[in-house]
Amino acid sequence: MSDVIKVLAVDDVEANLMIIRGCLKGDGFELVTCTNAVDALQKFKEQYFDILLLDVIMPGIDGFELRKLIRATDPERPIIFLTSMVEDKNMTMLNQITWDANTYYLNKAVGKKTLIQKITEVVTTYRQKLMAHKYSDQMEEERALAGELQKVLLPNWCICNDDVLFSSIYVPYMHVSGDLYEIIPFGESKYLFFIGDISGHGLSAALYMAAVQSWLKMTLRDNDIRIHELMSRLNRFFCEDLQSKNYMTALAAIVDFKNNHISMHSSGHPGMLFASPARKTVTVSDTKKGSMPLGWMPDAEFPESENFDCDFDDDTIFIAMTDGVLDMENEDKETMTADDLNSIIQCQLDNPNVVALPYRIKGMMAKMGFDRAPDDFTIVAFQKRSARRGFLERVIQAKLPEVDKVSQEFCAITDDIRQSTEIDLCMHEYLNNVVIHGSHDKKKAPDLIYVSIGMENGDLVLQGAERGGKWDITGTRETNDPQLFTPENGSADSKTEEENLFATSGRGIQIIKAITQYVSYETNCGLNETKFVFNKRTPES
Amino acid sequence: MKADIAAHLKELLELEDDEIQEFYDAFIKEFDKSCVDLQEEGVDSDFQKLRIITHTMFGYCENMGAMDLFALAKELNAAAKAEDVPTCRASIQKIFQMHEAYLAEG
Repeated sequence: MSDVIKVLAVDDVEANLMIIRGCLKGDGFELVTCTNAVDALQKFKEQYFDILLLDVIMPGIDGFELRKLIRATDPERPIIFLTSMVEDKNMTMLNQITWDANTYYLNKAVGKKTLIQKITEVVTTYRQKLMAHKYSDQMEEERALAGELQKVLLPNWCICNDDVLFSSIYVPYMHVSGDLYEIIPFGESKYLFFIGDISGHGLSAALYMAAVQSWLKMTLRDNDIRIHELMSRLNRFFCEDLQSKNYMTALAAIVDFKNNHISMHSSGHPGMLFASPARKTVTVSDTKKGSMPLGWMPDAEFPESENFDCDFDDDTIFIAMTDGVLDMENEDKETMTADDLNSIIQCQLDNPNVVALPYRIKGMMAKMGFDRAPDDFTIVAFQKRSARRGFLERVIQAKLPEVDKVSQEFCAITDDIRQSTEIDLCMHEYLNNVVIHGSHDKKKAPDLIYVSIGMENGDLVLQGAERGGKWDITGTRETNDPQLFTPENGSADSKTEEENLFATSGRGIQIIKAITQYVSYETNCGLNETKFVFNKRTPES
Repeated sequence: MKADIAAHLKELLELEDDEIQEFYDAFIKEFDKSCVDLQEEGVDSDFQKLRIITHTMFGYCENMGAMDLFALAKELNAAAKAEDVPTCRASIQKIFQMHEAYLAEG
């Protein structure tokens, strides 16, 4: 933006425009004049102007009408009305001039100095406002980028390895977040689980979060560390190395999946929940134990006596969260109670699914009306892998070559060639569609896909969970719709030709209908769960 | 009259003497146009139109510093507002006379 102020002056009386020319001649102004509104609108479309000087009464389109036409596309460009109607000015006229916050008023013949002063003052304010918008947009872009980078720093939302099945939902309040979580292997079947919440929002919290994550990974090179020592060292790092003015609540645990033992320490953080599908109970770690948040005092003590140790069952599901979950509000600004949360989790224990659990919890909370987030929101759940004995589970990248690999592996679970072929067909139809349709819209592209296969209540069940676009397959049994998946809101009219091509590329419904008893689908907070129950096999068939 | 306009423009726009005539000519041109408009409307005029003509006159008179003409335009505007035909007629005549006087000054 140059220092020269570009002015568009509109007046049907040439003598008046001459006066304006006389006032603004010389350095600092570039003036374009028009004697009617139509020409002025054309000029306004063609060129940039910092300000418009308008006469009120003009034949044809008057000054007020002209402003209305300009405001339709530009609500903030400053306008000064130059009028001589001082003597008979009335409230109606003044109201007409001033209803718009970016319109000003000057008497005609105010003099060169006054006119220049007013124009300069108004344009300076306008330019500052533009700069502020630009700066704010830039900040927003940077926050969004930082948010994306933060997601890369966090573990994958779903992890499935020999020891643990882990899932997480993470929703930053303002792109970036002060929430962090980690699950880091160290030693044989031992993992450090960490969840923390750095005070404040925005970039500073996000930067501390990244620093803490790096520190955790570095520190775990020392395999013998005890959980309270880790907290103590992290506190010193937070206070002394980072010299943070923020503080952090955290829950850290060393989970030994070989010996089914967990040792944890809470520093002002909500406790860990233990859900037992076998006993249908939800209990919380000892909330009386623990220490102060990290970063309050460099010499704070994190004694061993404040650790919480316990053994756990193979099927125990561990659930941890940040404060933001308990701070979710309903429309009356009420927050959820711990009992409400326990009830939600308990409801899930009839059909426990660790991968879906964090998403189902958030979904249930929303159904109960707790859907207003004043803070970052994180829930993680994990379970010892052996809890789902007999199930083959994999987490794959949403890429077509991965589909082939996992399909081959899943087909091999049975010696029955026909069943094996059915699994292969179903997996290809399902996964290819998820990968292709999901990848087609990058914003909705699934990153990872969780798949499992195994016997459930005597049926062979294939399950998938991914975070791609939503699909609606509820009609597929009742209709002969040739689409396997119809994208949500996917009426043909509302889609581009290319999108329709993708939407109808699946031929799989016929195949899937032929080989499954039923297909179920649900979606919760961005996680799509699809379940295929295969036809029972008999020796004759 | 012309001397008043010159003084006003010098003060308003910080003009030099040799720049004044151009502005004066523009003023006369607008004044000519107003007189033609008033002639067309005459005494049987549409009062609303008379008010619009006088509003235009306010603008350039005030800008150019022709305060004598501004006063007559104001008088005509008030008469038009009051729909007072005799006063409108008299004011228009005074404006025409003033036009003659301005033209004589060149």
